[in-house]
Amino acid sequence: MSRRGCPLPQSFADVERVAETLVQKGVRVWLFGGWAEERLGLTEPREHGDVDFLYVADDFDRLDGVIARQGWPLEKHLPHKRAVRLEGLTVDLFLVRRDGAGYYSEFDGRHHRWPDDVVSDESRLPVASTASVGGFRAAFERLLEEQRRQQKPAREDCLSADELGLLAAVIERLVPSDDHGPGAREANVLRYLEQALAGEYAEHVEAYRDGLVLVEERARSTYGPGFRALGGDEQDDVVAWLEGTAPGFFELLLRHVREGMFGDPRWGGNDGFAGWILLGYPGPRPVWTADEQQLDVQPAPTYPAPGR
Amino acid sequence: VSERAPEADVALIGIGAAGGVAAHVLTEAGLEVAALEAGGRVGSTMAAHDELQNDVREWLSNAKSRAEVPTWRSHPAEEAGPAPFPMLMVNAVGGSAVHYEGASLRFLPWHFRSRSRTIERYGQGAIPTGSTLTDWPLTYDELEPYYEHVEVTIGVSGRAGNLGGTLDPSGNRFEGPRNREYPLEPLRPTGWTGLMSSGARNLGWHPFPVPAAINSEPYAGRPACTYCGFCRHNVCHVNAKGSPDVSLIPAAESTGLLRIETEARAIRIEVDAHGLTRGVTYLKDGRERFQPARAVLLGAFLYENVRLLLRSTSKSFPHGLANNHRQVGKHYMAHACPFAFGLFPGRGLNRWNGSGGQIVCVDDWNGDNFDHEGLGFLGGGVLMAMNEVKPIMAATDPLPPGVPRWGSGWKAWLKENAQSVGSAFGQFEHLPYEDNVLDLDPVARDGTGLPRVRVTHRIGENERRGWDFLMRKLREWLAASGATETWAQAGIFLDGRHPAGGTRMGDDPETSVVDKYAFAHEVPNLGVLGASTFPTVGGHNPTLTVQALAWRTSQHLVDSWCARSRAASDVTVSKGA
Repeated sequence: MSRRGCPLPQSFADVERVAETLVQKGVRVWLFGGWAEERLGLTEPREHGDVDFLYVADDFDRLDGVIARQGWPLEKHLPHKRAVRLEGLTVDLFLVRRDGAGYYSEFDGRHHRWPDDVVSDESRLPVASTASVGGFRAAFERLLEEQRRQQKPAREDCLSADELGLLAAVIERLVPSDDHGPGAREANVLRYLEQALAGEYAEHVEAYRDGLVLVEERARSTYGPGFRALGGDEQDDVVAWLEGTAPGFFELLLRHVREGMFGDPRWGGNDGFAGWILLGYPGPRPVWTADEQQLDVQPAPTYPAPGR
Repeated sequence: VSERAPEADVALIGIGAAGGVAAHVLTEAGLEVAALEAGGRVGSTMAAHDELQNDVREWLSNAKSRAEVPTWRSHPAEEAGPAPFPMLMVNAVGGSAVHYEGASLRFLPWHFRSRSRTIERYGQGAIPTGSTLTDWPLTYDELEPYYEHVEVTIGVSGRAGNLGGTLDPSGNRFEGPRNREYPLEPLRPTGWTGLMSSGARNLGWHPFPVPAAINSEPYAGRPACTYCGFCRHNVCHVNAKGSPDVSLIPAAESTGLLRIETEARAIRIEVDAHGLTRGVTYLKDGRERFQPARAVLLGAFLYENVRLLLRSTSKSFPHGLANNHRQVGKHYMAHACPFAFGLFPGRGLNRWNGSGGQIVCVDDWNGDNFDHEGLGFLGGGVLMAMNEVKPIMAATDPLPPGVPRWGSGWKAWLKENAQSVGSAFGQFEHLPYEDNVLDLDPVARDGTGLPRVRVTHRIGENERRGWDFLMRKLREWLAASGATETWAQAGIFLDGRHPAGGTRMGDDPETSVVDKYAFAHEVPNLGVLGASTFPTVGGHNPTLTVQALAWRTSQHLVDSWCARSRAASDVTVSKGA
């Protein structure tokens, strides 16, 4: 769970400070994950990449409000989890809900049932109960084992083929191929995104990955099949939902898609000058004469533009 | 113990728009100058006609300067976060003037006297509560000769609107009287700026071409602009832009008196036992070095000026250099820039080209050029319409209400209208306020581990009303020029690239940091260059005023230096230790 480049907390004092900050803002949390294991004596002290907390509520609405008001930098926005930057640490907050049978959480589409004593600790730095921390660890190990069996290597630094396929489907809704001309597919906006994410935009890979999870979960929970299997209108509904629900990721994606659609082709997108033709942009030229700067003049494009 | 560079007469921190002028004036007078520049050298061969590289990824504002961008909050009770407004700046020889569009307007005479003129015309009650609005400690007339020196030296293309009191309707009739005409004819108008000029005249307004530090014809050994359309966020590909790296610095270097240390990050201005500066400690190649000097001119961008002073603590200056009166960081301001858009159905506005300096301006709603009675705000700002639209920008600009932002509907709209969207923007002058301040962020650090500047800035009622007013004028202008539909960008957009204040210039050490020549009240051999000294932000682009003040400050240093040398020509100057 450790993230490269993030400073690691060194002591429980750091963790306590984070917990106090959260409590001061009315967010009650129980320590969980590696730090809780250490606190409960389940493991030897070791380095931790982030701090995990359980957060008991029906949904994230109130927490999202606090995060927005405080201006805490949001690192992850997932159905079951929020990650914020706090006191120099990455702080993961897992949503724990309650129904007639007790406490439960949804992790990546899996249902996890918590022991009844999960949030019974009332101390200054409340820790989730031993049974819940240990039990989750056991379930997590089982999951890892299952994934290892399925031979799905976790790729950290770039999107998987599956993720790229889903991304292609999403951006084709943003700039569809239609009667008005070629879209993101023909302009190869995906190639632009891939190259950008492998270089200058590498810091955004995680946001893309998380955003794509949201898209796929929404498609499955609303329509059953995954996003790629949906019809255009249904896909548009999911994209519109994304726009309203995860504006951070959506705006980032839309910005990058415009770059790939309308930027210079040397960056990997705008194949066939599709974006420039759509806008009627005549292309860069080092010298413009006075005549060429007049109204209603359409100088010949500086790129091959068939049919225009 | 840090390495010691050879002593210079003057250590100059930052060699950009202001520092370039200082280097020119000081070396002309025979002074030895050591310039510490945090960036490297850029040049025309690095220019690219590529929107992604220039405007989107802002290659000139490299990762280093990005890491120094101040944090932002709108209230002292908040934690500061990333700035919601653009604040990028260039670290390079030539500074941010390398990538500007050269707009070189003088401030209006009113801008130097806005407090007293407001009280005269509207009464004391017109000054908003909490505003620290003040007159400048100098007048337009005192700065006029320095404006002229800069215009002639860097090459400004324009048309005088007030030549010694004679008004010329093809220039800006609202400008203060000028002693001479611009050295270069204005940049040529385009179809679009011509259309907007007609629209302004239809309304009875007084349009004029922006004066720009861009050669309309060959000048000073540099060629004329080719109107390529990639001026902004870019080095000029033919050196037609009068940025200091091509207009001022080469000649200064050729005197042999200017030594530029690039990639040199000033981290502390040092003082001696008498509280005078004795030089600058800087980081280069990971090592601390010391540049001894008999005077220091601090000419970095505003945020860095404030940061360096606050970080330069010593026994004599426990709160930061020149800050014993706790004035450093106060009165932060910026321009608020409303953008309005208009649809000219069926017209090919052909804005895909041109210098960013091909701008038509209107000053009818700037300063006190109109009656503010009952409007509920002071001041105003210049309105501008320009060429240099690029494709990603055209696809990103706000859309009229009801047009989708993605999907087939969006594509259809772009295909139909991308050629026919016009826009205009304003630069509303924010007032200074007691609570709008800069200090050091207790948490955020830059790439070298030094604290970043933290902005605390609230947009006041005066500013909201002024914004709305200019926005209405912009839409009126577009409509009068033929737009059938106009729309406004949402929210209030503050341009952190046009900031002012932080080291206010004034006569009273209790309420200002530097005197009327921009030397620190508390540290007589420390001068501060740049918009950080502006008592008010003015309703025009700041660069020319920054440069005129830098000229005046440098000239003052030269004059006092000569006077002292004459008085003590036999005294051996101690190098100190």
